[in-house]
Amino acid sequence: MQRMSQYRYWFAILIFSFPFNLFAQMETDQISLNQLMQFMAKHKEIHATFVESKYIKGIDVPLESSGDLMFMAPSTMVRHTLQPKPEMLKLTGDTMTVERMGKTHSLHINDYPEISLHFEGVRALLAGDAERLNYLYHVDLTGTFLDWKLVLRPLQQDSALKSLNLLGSHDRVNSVEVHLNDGDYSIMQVSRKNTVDD
Amino acid sequence: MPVTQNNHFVPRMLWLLCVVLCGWVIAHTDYRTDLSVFLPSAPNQKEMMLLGQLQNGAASRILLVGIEGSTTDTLAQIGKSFAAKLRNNAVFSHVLNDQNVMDPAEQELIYTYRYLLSPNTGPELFAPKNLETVIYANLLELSSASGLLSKSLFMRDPTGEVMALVDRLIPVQGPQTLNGQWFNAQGERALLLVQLASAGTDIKAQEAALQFMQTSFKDVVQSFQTQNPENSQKINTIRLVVSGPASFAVSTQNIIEQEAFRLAGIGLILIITILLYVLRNLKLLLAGLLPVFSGVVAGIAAVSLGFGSVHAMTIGFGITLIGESIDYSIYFFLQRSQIRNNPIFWRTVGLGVMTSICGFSTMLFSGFTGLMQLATFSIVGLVAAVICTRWVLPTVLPQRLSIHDLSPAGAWLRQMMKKGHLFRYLIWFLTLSALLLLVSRQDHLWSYELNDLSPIPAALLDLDGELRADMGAADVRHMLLLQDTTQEQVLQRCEQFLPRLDALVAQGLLGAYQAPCAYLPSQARQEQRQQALPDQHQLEKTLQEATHALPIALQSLQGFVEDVANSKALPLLRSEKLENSTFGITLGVTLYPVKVNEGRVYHALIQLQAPLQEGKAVSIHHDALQSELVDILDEQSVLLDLKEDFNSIYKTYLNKILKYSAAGFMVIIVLLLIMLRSLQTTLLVILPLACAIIFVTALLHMLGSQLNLLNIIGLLLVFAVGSNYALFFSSSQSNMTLASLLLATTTTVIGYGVLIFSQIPILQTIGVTVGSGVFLALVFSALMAPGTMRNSGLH
Repeated sequence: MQRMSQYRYWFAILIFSFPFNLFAQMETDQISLNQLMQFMAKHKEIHATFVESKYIKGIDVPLESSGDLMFMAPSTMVRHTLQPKPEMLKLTGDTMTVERMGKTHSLHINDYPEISLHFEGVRALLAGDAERLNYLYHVDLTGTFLDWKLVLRPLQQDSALKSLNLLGSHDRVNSVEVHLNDGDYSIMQVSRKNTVDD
Repeated sequence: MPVTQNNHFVPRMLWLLCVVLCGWVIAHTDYRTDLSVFLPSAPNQKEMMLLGQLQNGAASRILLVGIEGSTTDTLAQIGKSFAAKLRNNAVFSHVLNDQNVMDPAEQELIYTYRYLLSPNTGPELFAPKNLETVIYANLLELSSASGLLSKSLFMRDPTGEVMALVDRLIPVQGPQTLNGQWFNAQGERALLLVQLASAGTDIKAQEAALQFMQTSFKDVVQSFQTQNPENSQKINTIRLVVSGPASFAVSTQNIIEQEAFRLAGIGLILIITILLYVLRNLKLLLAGLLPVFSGVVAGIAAVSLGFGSVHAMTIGFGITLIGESIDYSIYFFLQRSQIRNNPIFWRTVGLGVMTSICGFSTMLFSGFTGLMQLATFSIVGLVAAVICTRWVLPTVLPQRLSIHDLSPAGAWLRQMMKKGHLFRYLIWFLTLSALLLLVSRQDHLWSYELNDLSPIPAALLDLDGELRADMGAADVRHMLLLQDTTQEQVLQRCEQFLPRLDALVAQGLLGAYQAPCAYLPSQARQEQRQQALPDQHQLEKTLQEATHALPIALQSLQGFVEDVANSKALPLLRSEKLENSTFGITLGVTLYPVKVNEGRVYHALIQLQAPLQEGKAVSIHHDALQSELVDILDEQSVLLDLKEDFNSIYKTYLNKILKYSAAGFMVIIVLLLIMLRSLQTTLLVILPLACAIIFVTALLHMLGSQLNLLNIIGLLLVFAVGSNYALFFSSSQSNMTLASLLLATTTTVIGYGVLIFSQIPILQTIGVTVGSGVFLALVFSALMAPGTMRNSGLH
């Protein structure tokens, strides 16, 4: 009986420690692009808020803006700026629609590669579309499951964009940095809203 | 009249001489096939401007093109290669199939000329306080999603003129884009907008361009087939549809040409067959056609002399109209034996011709060149034909004629008349009901739509409406039409309106407008703007003051200072500069020269769009706009509501035609009175005709067509032609007379009847009205003829 209980004890420890063990390993291990993409591909719908600061040479203060972000699988991403000037930018499939001051402009992203490079990286990540990421950018993923950093450098030669850096933890993107070749940059902090999906 | 060799010679020689003279005129005639003959000739200034716009406006060079009948992917692929193919041909000045990419030429234009184009340019823009406010507002714009992309533009254009101009000059609405190709909302028709390089009046060039489109389309489809053999079944049903004034002109012209030949041919063959049956002799037939031939020759020559040119339609359908002249030969052949004992024969024929002339004269005053040509042709043709019958025909006929004995037919008709006299009561009853119907429906009888007179087949108009809706190009109905002697003056006139229209847009009375002077400001206005620009030193000083409170370093705005300095010395923007951009299309449509007599004037067209309410366009209140703008509107600046204005032109003509027709009826009645010298006989002649006319009118109404100007002309022709028959009925009732009448009516009904099958609405109307009217006129005249009257003892 004594022996038995000892076995049981070890068995119980083994059972209880296994998931913790596994988790601990994931938290501290290097993350691979494939794993990240599998995480991301589970998203159906994401709602978040953002605060963005733009740092532009010649302008002494950072330019701030804030609003809502939304992603709907497979290909819709909405940036709804509320402050300081309302603006709605919607990327669906190949079409980008900008609504501001009561007017709607619509454009085809393939016609404006420079603009699309700024937004497509984020969307492709959220959609878990590795193929698209590799098509547009040189992809570099570092860090762990808990704290990863995805650096996207455009493959297009003459782009003004130097890199699009996405920082996150697990399946969440926490910040988006846009760096231009001329040194100007912007940092966007993202906080996920709690929805049913979470 | 004893016929001898001597009095054969003179009329024959005279006839030959006339034919040769007419032949000479005909050989030197300018033949036309354009559609301008279907437009009314303009009586007043406003209408003249309206029609000038219609004929000369560059809108006549625009074509809407659709490709349909396959999957969206295939349509997009074919649409794109088709557009590329058209772009390579100089016949087309612009080919658009996806305007999402802003034309680089336009970008450069707007950027370079922004201070000359922008309505904001003025001393107040560069006042320090204002500059500070404006720059701050635009700085906030940089915080937008695309801020990092537009920052370099901001540094050179911190007042935001470029973006304001893009909003102002580039209309955002348009069809949706799928796979880089315009599509209609359902995604089942790929769309293109094409502008032809040649003028709208050059039909030959337009036809060649349309032909090229068709062959290129075939090539594109074929190469798609060879490249994608696996998809070849997808393009089995693919087809090209084209619409626009040029396409209307070409297809309507083709239809007119085909129909003129086909219908006139069918009519002629039927008539010749009947004549051949009756005359049983080729020589006699040729002789019988002699008056018609003379009439046609004289008619063409007269139109040529009177109008300077002859329209193909005049010849094609004029021959149908003077089919009546064959009646003279018929009367002459069949009643020749009686002519010597019947002194009133020629008088009756003469009276018939005169009444016909009264009928055609109304068309002469219609104001539509096409109808005026037809009337001239018919009047001259009839007179020539009757002269030929009277003096030339007898000289070429043998002494004795052996023609088919038609007495049995006459006897049969007499039999029918006797039997049918009871039907008179039916006629009275029908006429009375028809009259009651017409009186009770008198408010719904008339159509006041000019479109009813359009020569363009309805199917083409329907297609045009569909393509326009697909393209999001609503039919522009309201516009300001401005006219002046030079381009500069008309642009200045246009500039007067812009601040006022902006105010109306703000008030919500207008949705938007498109004015040529927004794309090309007058030279005076551009100079004025240039003078308002500060020089470099001055601007730097002002900026220093303005940026004091702003988080921007002065040196960041160095590009702005440079650009303002450059704009101050820039050569002014001229129309040639715009030609290579898509602005050229807009400018071409809204600013154009119009030929007036010897000289030319310039038109500027400001297109007005209806205001939106909850996303839907509501209608424009013409009267409200008129009273808002009344102080700057004058004889050369008019506010148009195209639909109403065209219809009011039409109404004017309709009233005129009604008056002339009433006069025509009166003259015919007076002629009858003078010739018949009896009120009672005249009444007996007129009565069946009046019944027929009332009955036909009611019939047309019941068939659902509203009466228009052409129906009136048609009814008058029924009266004119029908009175001939009634005259003969009342003058003689021999078997031969009856037979000749039956024959003559048949040929006339055939002549007009074939027009019923025309695709050209206006000819169809005349065909239906006159064809059925003449037939009824004969039946009624026969049944109500005095002979049968006397038998029934009704008078």
